[in-house]
Amino acid sequence: MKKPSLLLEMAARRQTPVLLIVSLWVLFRGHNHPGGGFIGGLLAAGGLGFYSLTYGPKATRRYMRIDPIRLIGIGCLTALGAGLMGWLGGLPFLTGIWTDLPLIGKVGTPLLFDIGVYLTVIGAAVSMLHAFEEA
Amino acid sequence: MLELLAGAQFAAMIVLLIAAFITFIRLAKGPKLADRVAALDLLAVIFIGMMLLHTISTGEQVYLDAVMVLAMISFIGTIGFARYIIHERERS
Amino acid sequence: MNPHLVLPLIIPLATAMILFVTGRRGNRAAVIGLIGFAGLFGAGVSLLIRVASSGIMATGPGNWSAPYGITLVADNLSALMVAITGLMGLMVFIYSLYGEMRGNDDGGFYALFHVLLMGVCGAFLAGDIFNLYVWFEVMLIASFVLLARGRSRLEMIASVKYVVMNLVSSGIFLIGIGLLYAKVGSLNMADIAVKLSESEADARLVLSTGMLFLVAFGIKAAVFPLYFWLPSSYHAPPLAVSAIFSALLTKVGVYSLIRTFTLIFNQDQAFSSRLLLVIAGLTMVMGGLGAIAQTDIRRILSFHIISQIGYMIMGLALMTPLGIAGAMLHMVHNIIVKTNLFLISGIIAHHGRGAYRIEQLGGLYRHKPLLALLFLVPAFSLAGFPPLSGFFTKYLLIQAGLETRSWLISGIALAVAMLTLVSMTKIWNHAFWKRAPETFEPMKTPVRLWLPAATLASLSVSIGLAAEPIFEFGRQTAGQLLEPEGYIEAVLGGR
Repeated sequence: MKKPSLLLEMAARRQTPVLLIVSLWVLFRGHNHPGGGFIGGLLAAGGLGFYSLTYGPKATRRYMRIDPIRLIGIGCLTALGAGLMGWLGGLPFLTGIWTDLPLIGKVGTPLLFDIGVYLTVIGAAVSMLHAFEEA
Repeated sequence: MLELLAGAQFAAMIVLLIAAFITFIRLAKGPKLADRVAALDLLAVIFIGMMLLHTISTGEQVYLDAVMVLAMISFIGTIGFARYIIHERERS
Repeated sequence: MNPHLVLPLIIPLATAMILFVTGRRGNRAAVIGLIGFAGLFGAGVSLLIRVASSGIMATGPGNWSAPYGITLVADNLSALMVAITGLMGLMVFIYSLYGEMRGNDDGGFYALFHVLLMGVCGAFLAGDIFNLYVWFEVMLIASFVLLARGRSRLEMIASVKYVVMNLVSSGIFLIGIGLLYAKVGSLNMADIAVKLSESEADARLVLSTGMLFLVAFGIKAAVFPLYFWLPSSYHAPPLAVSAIFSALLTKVGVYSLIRTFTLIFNQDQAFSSRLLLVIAGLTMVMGGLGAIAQTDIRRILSFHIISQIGYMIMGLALMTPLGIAGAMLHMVHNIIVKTNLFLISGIIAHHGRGAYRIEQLGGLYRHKPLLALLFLVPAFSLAGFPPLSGFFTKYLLIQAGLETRSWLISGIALAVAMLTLVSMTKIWNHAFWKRAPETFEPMKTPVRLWLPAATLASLSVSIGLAAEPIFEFGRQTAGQLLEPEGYIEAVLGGR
């Protein structure tokens, strides 16, 4: 693809990490504030989408270091694992288990589930965008 | 002091509303796609301003997140449009 | 917490996602997919055994109890359908290992196949009407991608028809759910049933919502007059895809009709039964006549799906224990036999160098006598010859019709069986009996193709021979469906 303008290039290089960090923050805040895996994933996908608008799908996959389609699988398996954890503890499938950790605060299987959703959304959104770009 | 702040908020809201109205005219009239895209981008900025005003006047903080996110990603759509316009021009 | 209810959903999802991670094509993907389907089939069978021995089971994932959280329920009908879904998944999957039958490898056929079956199993197990809708959507998305995967013109036209009709259906379904929720204030099907029976609401008002559900599920099940999308989309995709579609997707619609009209919309039975009878009769006749007019094997079989759906609706419409039992058993029989016919039509086309039009085929009886025998079993079974499974289920349905003095529908059912036979004879005459075309050269049938077909054929024979215990099971199921107290108690009465 053609070389993008210098402005765009610099903006993408700076903006994408910022969006990724914000998306993580939205993700982790999700369990009792607005936010969560889905919107966090969309934010991250927005950042990566910006990157691929600038540098193209190939460079984005290099930047991500993973095939977005594979990310869908990893995300879904993570969410599934979160559901199974309650199950192994003798509770119904998908039951949440919470613990309080020092410094970090409340963590539990719903957070893990959210991380799974986050990865799935990123993978799905980015691979859809790439399908359009490469078509 | 508080009076002044409330008055300023009111005035700012009026100004933003007028700005939004004018931008809508540009959005409707065009005449080119690029004008409309620029108008959309400007509208996003105006809405960000409105949400901030709302946050100041009510003290409701939930809108701040929306403001932040909107500010960070609203331009991505504009870039997408810009690429599309360039693409079209190269093809014709 | 019992794992039997959740496993049929977890296994296909996990398999599909493992395929997404480890790579979606090649031999390794095939092996993983095969293991996944074997697991699903095992889970389905163990669920069936559990439900048959210890009655209806229900569970609420996430530890939310029944009317509030989502519920998974398995009664005899659900469990049987899940088990048969697993079996069909396994059989069609083995068949699809032969590359020609699944089209190109791009786009993750194996993974999508698992997602599709997860949607189907979910729809059978859902105890919550909104959840049912969600599973319908899972199914729709997976089936759409499977249909449009080849990107040929034919497939695109077919998938547009398919998607538009199914989206309309989903929309109507969703409106129906909204109205029902506004009336009752609950989404749990058992809870809705309780609240409707307690409330003083006008039965006609409830039934008006029921009609929305009838249209929505009717589109999915391809009943008259909403069937036209089916024959114009099922002939386009690679054969393994049309086989699994014809096996399961319309049956999910029929299952939902049976479930909602026995559990929720059972106030004004006289009206809905009359309406369903008319629909059933017309569906049978139109399907039967349509099949006669076609010359593409897959189109003939698609029209047969429609006429057989008519029989199932007829059983439901009669609302007697015998009728419901007949409808359910006919559904099972039809899944097995119809899939079998699709698989065999693929083998026929394999020998005919990819031709599905019957004029271009021929000589298979002379060169492939075993294939001819294999074709005759499901063909006769579909037409209803003793001692095959089709005879037995049609006998039940017609007897149920005669018992309730519904002479007309019974007559139609008999006549349509003849129509089915006529169109089967047409395939037979052209593909098997006629002289082979000049270009024909005999070749071997790969094991991957004949093994699933032979398994399903022997299953059809054994259902016909073991009719007695299966009929008992059917009657027990009909009892569960017609007296939903047991179902309601299993869902709402604690775990």
